[in-house]
Amino acid sequence: MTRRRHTELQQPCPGPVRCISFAAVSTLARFRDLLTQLILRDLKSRYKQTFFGALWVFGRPLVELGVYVLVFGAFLRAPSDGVPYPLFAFSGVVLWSFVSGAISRGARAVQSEAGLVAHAPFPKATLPLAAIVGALIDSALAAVMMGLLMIVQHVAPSPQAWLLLPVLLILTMMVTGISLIGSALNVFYRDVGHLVDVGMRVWLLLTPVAYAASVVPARFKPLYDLNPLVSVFHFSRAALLGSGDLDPLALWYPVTVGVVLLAIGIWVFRVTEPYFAETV
Amino acid sequence: MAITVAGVWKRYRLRSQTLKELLTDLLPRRRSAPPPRPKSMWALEDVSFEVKPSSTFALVGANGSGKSTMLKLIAGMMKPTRGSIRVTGRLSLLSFLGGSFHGDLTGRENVFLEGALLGLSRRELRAKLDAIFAFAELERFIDVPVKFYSSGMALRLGFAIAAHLEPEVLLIDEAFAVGDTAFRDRCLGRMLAFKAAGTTMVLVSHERYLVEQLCDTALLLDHGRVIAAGRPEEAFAAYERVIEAEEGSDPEEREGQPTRSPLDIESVEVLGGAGTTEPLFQPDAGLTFRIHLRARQDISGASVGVQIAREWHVLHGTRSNRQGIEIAAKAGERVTLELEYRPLALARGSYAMHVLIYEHRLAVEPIVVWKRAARFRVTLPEKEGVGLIRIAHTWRIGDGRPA
Repeated sequence: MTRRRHTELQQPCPGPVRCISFAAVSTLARFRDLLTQLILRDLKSRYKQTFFGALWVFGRPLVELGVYVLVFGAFLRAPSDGVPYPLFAFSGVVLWSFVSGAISRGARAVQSEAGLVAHAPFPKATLPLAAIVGALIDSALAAVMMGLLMIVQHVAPSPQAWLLLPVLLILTMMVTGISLIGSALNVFYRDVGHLVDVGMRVWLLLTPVAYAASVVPARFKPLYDLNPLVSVFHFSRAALLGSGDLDPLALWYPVTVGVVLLAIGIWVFRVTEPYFAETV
Repeated sequence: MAITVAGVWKRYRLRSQTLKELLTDLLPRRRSAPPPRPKSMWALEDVSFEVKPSSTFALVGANGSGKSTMLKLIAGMMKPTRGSIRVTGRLSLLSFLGGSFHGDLTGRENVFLEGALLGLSRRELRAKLDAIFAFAELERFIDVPVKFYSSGMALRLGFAIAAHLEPEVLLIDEAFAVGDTAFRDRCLGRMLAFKAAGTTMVLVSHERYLVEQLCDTALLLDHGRVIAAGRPEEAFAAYERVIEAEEGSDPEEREGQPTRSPLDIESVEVLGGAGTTEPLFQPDAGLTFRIHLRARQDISGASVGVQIAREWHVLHGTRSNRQGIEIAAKAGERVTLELEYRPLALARGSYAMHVLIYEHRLAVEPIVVWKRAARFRVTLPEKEGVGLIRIAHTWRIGDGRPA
C-alpha cells in the first residue's frame, strides 16, 4: 500500500496538491473495494456446502448460552448482578463472540492467505480487517437474538443503551490492535497462532462472560481488574439491562488499552508488511 | 523512465529462527558437528536497469535466476535489501492468475474479488463483467462455483480479468505458461493491444519467440546477476551461452575396461574451428577430429567409433571399420586417426564428442568409451532455422500457378 502511494505521487500532474489528494483518494477507494470483496467472500463462502447454512450463525451462540445456563446458572448458581441469568449470560456471549471471533480469525488472516500474499501486491491490512468485520457481522446477528431474548423475558432496554456504541468502538480498537499484531507476527512465527488459541481460552475464563465480577474475592480484585474487558462488560450490561451502576469514567482504562493496542498494531503491521511476501 | 532499478540487492533468509535453534546457536559448537546451513542467500546482486515509458521489457534467465524476485520488487511486494526502485504510473502485476479464486464461490463472485485484488473498482468490474466472461468463453459458467471449473477454465478467467485492466505499467510473470493454443493466441493479441495502447510492460518468460516478437529490450539474469542487457536476440544468445556452459560443465568420463583395451586414447583434437577450449564452427568450414592412440599390445583389426552428442541425444555415430579403417600396431606404437565432417550439418548449439574403442570388427559393444572427450560449438544465423540438424532451405513466394 505504501508502495502504491509512493508510485502514484510520482505521476506527472498539474499541481502537487491535487495530485496528492487524488492519489490518497484512489488508494483509499481501492482499499475499501478490496475490503468489501474480502468480507463478501468470507460471508458467502463460510456456510456454503453446509446443511444448515447461515443458521450456524445463530446456532453457535445459542449452544454456548445453553451450556452457560446449565453449568453456571443451574449448577454453580453464578451471581448475575440482579438480571435474569440467561440475559446476563447472553449479553456476555454476544460481546465475547466479537472479541474472540475477531482475534482468532484476525490473527491467522495473513498466514491463511499465504498464496495470495506471496503473489499479489495489495494492501495486506485488508485481510485482518475483513476477518474483524466478519466477526462483527456474526456478533450483530447474535445481538439481534439478544433483542429477541429480551422481548421474551419482558425486559426493556435501559434508556442508556446507546452507550453500547462507544463500547463497541473500544472493543473494535482492542481487537484490531491485537489482530494486527497477531496476524503480522504469525507470518514469522507460527507460535503466535497457538499462543492466541491458548490466550483466548484463558481470557474467556478471566472475563465476566458467564459470571458476574462480584464473585471475585476482594484480594484478587485489583489483579482481576487488569483485564480491560472486566469494566467493558460491566459497563455494557449496566447500559443495556440497567444492572449495577453506570460509570462512564470506569472506561478510561479500556479506552487507554484500546488506543495503545491499536497504535502498536498499526506500527507492527506497517513495519513487517514488506517482508510478508518473502516469508509466508 | 517508467521504471528505474538502481543497484538493487536482495537477500532472502533461508530458514526461520525457532527458539530451539536460537538456544542451540548459543551453545558452544562441538568440533565434529557439521557447519550450520547458510542462513541467507543473495537472490539479486547489484541489478540496475531502466525501462522506458511505453516500451516492452523482458527478464530472461533460468529458474532461480532471480527474475520473479525482481518482478515482485518492482511490484512493491518486497523491499530491496539495498538499492532503490522507482516506478511511475499505475501498476498491475499478473502472476498466479486465478490464484485468489475460492472454489465455493461462483465465477461472478470470484471475478469481483480477483478484480479488487488487481485494483479494479466495483463499478468498473460491473461494467466489464460480460466482456470478461466473453473473453474467457465462460458465459455459460458465470454462476457456477469455480471448483467445478477445470484448471484451464480457471486460468482463462484469471487472464480475462487481467486483460480488462487499464494499467500504465503491467508486470507479467510467465502468464503464458499454460492454456490451449487458441487461448494463448488471444492472450498474445491482448498483449499486443496493451503494447499498442502505450502500456509499459515487463515480461518474465522463457519463450524466446514471444519475447523476441514482443519486447524491445531484454535483460538476462543468472544467479541474481545481470549477464547481458540489450536487444532480445542478444540476451537470448547470452542465455544460450549460459545454458551451454552449464551443459558443458558435465565432466568428461571414461567407461568400460581400459586395462583390457588394446588401445589407449592419449588425446583428441578438434581442428578447423576458432577458439581453443570449445572451438566455434561455421558449419560450411567443416570439422576435423584427430584422435591420438597408443597400442597397449600387438594388435590387428581394432576399430574406433565417434559419436556427436547434444545433451543426452547422440545425433550421429560412425565406426572406422565401416570405411575400411582397421588398426594394426605393435605394442607401444602410436597411431593417429583423422575424421573429417564436411559439411557439418548441425544446427546452432553446443556439442560433445564421444570416442569408442572396439577390440575387433565384429565387436558389438565397445571395450572403452571416452564420453565428452572433446567439445565444440556451431554458430548459425537465425535465418538458418532452429533444431538439431541443419537442412539448407530457401523461402520464396510462389507464382500461384498449379504445378
